[in-house]
Amino acid sequence: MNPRKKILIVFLLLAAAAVLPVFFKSSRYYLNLLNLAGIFIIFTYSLNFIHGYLGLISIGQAGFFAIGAYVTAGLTMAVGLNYFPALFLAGVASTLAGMVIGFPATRISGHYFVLITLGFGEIVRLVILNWKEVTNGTNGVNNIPPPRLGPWVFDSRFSYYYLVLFVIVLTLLVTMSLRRSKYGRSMLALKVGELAAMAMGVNPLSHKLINFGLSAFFAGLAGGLYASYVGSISPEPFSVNLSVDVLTMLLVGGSGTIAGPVIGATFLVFLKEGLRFMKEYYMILYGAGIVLVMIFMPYGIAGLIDRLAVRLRYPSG
Amino acid sequence: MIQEIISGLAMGCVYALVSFGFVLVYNAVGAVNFAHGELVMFGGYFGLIATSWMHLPLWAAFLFSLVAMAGLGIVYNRVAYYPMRQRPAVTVIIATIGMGILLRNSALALFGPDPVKLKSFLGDHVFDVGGVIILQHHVLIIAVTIALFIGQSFFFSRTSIGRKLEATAQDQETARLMGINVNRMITLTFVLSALLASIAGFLLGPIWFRDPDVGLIVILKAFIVIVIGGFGSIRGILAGGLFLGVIEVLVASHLTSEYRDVISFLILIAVLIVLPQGFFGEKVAQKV
Repeated sequence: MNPRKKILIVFLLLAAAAVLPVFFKSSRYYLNLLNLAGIFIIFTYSLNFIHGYLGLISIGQAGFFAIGAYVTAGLTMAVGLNYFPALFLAGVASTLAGMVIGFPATRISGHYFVLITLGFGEIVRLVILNWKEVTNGTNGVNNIPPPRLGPWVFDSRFSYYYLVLFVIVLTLLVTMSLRRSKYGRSMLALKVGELAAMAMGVNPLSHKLINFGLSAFFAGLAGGLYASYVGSISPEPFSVNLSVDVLTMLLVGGSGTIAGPVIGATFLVFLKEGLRFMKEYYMILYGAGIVLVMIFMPYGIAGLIDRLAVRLRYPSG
Repeated sequence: MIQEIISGLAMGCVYALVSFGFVLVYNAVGAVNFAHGELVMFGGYFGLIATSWMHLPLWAAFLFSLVAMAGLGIVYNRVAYYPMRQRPAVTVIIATIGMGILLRNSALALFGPDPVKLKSFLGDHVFDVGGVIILQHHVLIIAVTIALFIGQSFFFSRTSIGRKLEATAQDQETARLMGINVNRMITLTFVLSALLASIAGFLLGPIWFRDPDVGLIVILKAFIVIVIGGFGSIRGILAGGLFLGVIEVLVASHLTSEYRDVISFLILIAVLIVLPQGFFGEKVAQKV
């Protein structure tokens, strides 16, 4: 597929996404799921910067999400800032945290990187839990106001959908332009073989650090969107489980692809909801499902579609 | 103070045992088993099934847990490792994360969210040594751990099966050429790891409340221990476990109990930055 055709497809899909909620306008239930899926799509793209481009696994992503959520809530409520600058600053705060941890983390690789991000995520959660003067501890922050932009208030699920979609498009633009730049190519070279890429003059540290920062930024944005959408936040959901969830979404969808995060996040948000009627058994099935996906579709749904497409085009091969 | 240090050492021994089971599998097949904490949890829950559902005495419950965990180890290998043994390590990591979710929520469905405690072999008896109160269970933990660590060094260096396991861990291809059934050895490794998890679960049972989330907490601690000790080093694990156990108790009682775990994780990160090979571990080298 040539790039122009690809961009056309992305464009058509975005147009479809823009009209999608019109069909569900009467169903608050489905709009809610779509919005959650949208927030998780951004969150999953954020992890894609680390895993898709560098091949590193982070399970501290919930830490950035939490920082984004709490900073957005704090800036809009305590400081009285408008939502949009607050959201941006939340992304910046998250990036700064990403730099602090990314500086040491990018110097090591493999399972050491996994553990350092894990430690980071837990530290963020524990600090939020215990720093009661600022975060209100387990009770969390309630009545976070909806975003406001001039005359518009994003207080309905329908209008929020478009806000989320806007941020998704932003994330997509950064992801796609990164892929096509010299920078993105150097990163992919790093993923395939770090030593070889270094010999070609790619500086692994600065590349990794930039990607880590981008990842933290978008995770922070996703957290900020989540906070004002749900309206109240507490430390409980920002645990390792959330980091694992987003990693699962990325791998089930297909890491390192443009479509993967969209497919994975949407699929798992709806799957979790669809299995909810099984009560306490649904998380058991969810766990089993992850294992099965890893056994039978190691490159995720996007990878499976790719392989099927190849087979359709070259039936004999 | 002495009292605190002894309870810290006991806790550290449990951490070391948990980490030991994790590292066995890691050294043998390079798989990072994120569900090892859940295996430890199940070791304890099997004991609970035996004592409160089947009304068995505690020693029989322990045997039951060992047998059940050995079975679980075999199944675990078949499901979460064996089908993916030729694929990138991340595939196995995610599969074990999936297994962790499955096991944790199975425990939730079977036993409910309420924390429960397992009885100790020694009840709540204490030694009173000149005014210092020492829980007998703590002494048991330390004794069992020392015995197991001495036993393992004998097992892996002196017995035929232990040497085969060691050979498999070092180089699967060569081990296969030497006529060792590599797949059987790997299965055995998973079984040994599960047995260690069962023992750790039993020792942990009386001192920690057991609820379905305990596995996650346990594996996080084990990671810290493994990093302090150097990934893969058995000696390092024992030292790292004892170190973490004592530090935690001292921090909690003299410094801050809320931020105790934050300090543990800061130690993890600090060690990774300053001394990535840990205090006893391998050099971190890169393959082309």
